[in-house]
Amino acid sequence: MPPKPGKKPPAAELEYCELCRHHHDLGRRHRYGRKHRAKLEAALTTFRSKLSDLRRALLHGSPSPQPPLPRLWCPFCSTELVDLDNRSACSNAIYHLASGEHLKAVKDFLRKHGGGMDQVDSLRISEDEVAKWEKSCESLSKGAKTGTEGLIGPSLGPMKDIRNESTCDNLDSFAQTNIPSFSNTASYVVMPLQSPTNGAYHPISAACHGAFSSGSVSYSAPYGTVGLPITAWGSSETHEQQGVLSTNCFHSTGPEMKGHQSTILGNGPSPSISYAAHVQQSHSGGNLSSGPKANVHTGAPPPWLKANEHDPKNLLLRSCGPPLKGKLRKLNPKRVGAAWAERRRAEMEMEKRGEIVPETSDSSWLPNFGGVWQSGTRKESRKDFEKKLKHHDTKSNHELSLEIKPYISKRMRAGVDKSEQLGSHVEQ
Amino acid sequence: MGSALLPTLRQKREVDAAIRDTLDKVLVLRFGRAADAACLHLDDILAKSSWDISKFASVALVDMDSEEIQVYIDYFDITLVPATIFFFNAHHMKMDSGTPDHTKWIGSFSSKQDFIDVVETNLIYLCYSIYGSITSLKSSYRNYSIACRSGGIT
Repeated sequence: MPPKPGKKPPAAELEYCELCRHHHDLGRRHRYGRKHRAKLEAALTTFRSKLSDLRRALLHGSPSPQPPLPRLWCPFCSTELVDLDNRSACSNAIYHLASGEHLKAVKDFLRKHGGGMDQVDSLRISEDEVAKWEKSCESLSKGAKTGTEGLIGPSLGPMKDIRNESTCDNLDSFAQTNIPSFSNTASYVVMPLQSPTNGAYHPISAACHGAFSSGSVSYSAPYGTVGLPITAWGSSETHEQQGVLSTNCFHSTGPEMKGHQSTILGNGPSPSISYAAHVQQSHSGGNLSSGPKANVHTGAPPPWLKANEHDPKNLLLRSCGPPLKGKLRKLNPKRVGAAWAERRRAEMEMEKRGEIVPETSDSSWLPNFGGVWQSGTRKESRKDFEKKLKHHDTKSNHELSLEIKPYISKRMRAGVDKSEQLGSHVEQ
Repeated sequence: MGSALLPTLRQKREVDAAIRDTLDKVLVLRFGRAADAACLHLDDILAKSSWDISKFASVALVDMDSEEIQVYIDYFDITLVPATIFFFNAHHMKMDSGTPDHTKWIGSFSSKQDFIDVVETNLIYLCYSIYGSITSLKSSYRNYSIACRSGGIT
């Protein structure tokens, strides 16, 4: 039976429309839908209004009725442009909106969701506008310098101070809350990642995003210091795999971090210096309050390797391991901990054969007499020792009585001693 | 139940020996308390899967409350239980589990297969360096169908 001509064509693959936020199987026809067009129009008008606010406030310098929002969501690139409230800090957003990537993303968006290509210019900032803005910025900074030098009129100095104070407060609160946890560990802050970031992560939620931009430097600093020494704990052998693992450990300076750092340093030289100083203070303060702790995060030597560090026999074993046999020959000599495995295997074999006494951490090796080790006066311990010595002597006398030794006269003994002494003097 | 089936380490000497003497195998140490609900769940999963992975991994439980173990608790900075740590040839294996802390796996696994997958990812990474090829790893599986189902070996 042939299909009816009025029926729908076979359903295509399900697609997700970000604007309508639902899946559909209409393919390209979806963008002509009434709801989709309404949503598209709403999204574009919202973005245009935000963009016009930004232009008014930053490019033309006229005071807008509403202050620009602290962040702007770019729906085309799916990125958030932060810190629009400060004139110099918004450079990130302006350069993004004027970039070629943004233009391409806008075109792709319009191609995908419909809408005329003639709207492209209204959704981005042109290069001419950027050039104008840069000029005005330069002139303003010069004006500010002259104003502060001459101390005439309302200078930008106090404003900057206020800003610094506010950021200092942020940093202080940040140090109080977060730095101790870092000095102890990173595991106190366990948050599930929102998206796969290949190791780089945002430690602060979006709720305190304002504080985050000022605190990201201090985050990168402890992680940098924490992440570095982790390679150092390994035993004498180092493998490529070990290196890879340790580099996988913390990606503190991911692309996101760098981006935030650039926005911070865009504020000018003096704020960045003050940030660095505060970061150092807060970091050291955190360390002092809790004290340095040797753990896996600080690259301390692992407890299971401390046990046999001072064993001289292990040094010998390192050089002379028995040849691998049977299945073990197949193993890759470059595998993780290969040297350790071979050494330990040799040790275990020798222990089995009885060549090495297996290491025991009992306290029985301590001399078990006298007050030096346990309690009591030294006199008591001396008595105790003498008693045991007598007991030992009587035992050994029984053993010695059975041994037959050749007689050596005192004169001969003295002669041997003298010759030995002479020999030692000559050697010296 | 799982804590009865798996060896429980209560002394530093035992943990030392387990880490040092487990050669060419992944050692899975679970730090926690047997009375904890999440630990019970994890122990059950570990006990059920320990035989399947016994050719390339061995599992042991560590009692957090014993005094001698505090050295390890401090070293690995264990605050949340249960914490699962992986070793290979006395090397602490770190992995990216989606949290900032790459040194341990915190919490239980949702299923036995998840745990096997995690051990496999540890081992699959290693197997190139141990055996030279994936195919030679196939022979080291107790239950080959497990590996196929998990998608670890193709």
